[in-house]
Amino acid sequence: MLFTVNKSPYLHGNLEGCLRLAPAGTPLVLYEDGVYAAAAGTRVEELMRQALARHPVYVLEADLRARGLGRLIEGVRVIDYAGFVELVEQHPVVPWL
Amino acid sequence: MEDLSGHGELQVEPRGAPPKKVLVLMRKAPYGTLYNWEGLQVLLIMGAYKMQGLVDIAVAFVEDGVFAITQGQDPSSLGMKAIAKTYPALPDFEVDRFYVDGQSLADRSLTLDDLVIQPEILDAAGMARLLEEQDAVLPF
Repeated sequence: MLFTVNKSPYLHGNLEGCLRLAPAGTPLVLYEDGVYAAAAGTRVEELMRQALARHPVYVLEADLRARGLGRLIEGVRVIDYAGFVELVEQHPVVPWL
Repeated sequence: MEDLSGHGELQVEPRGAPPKKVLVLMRKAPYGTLYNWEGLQVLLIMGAYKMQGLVDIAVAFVEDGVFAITQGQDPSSLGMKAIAKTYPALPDFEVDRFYVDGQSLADRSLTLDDLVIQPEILDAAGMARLLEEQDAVLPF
């Protein structure tokens, strides 16, 4: 399974809810406003550290660039659209909308 | 035909009346939704009313709204226009009072150096006072 989160971790509980229920080891993709969670030094960094301990975490490059996000939490992997498609091909997708 | 009298008309204040205080409240991040973009359009339009002395317009960025004014945005790969680029031009439209919630910046590991404009930083009490003194708050 592949879990995807596209909402900001500040205005929504989506990321937290997803992390609570996603089985350990399943990959997580952050895209659209979900990418804000990947920024280093924020209020949600601790939540993300817990996520990284249990899941491979990917963020979509196009959404990072759109929002001007620079410094990311260590361990987060940046992927492009092709990489996203590849992951979707390999796993059944559970969008945590 | 429907009688439109009294509906949807602008309330025209008598000449010399003090301008209405209006605050555009930005709470959402750019690109993920259209709220921020639409709020920006409203600011440009409100600028015309400001020029006529009808309103006194200000903008406050709180919660994810602070992401709208961060530097380095490049949404070309999303096929969208860079929202942050328009904010520094707003003073040309007489929209020049900007405020930002300090806690919202801190939560997101942002400082004034990360922003395309230099809003006045307010704490929660300051933001409450700003909201209190408005005749109208337009949320986006």
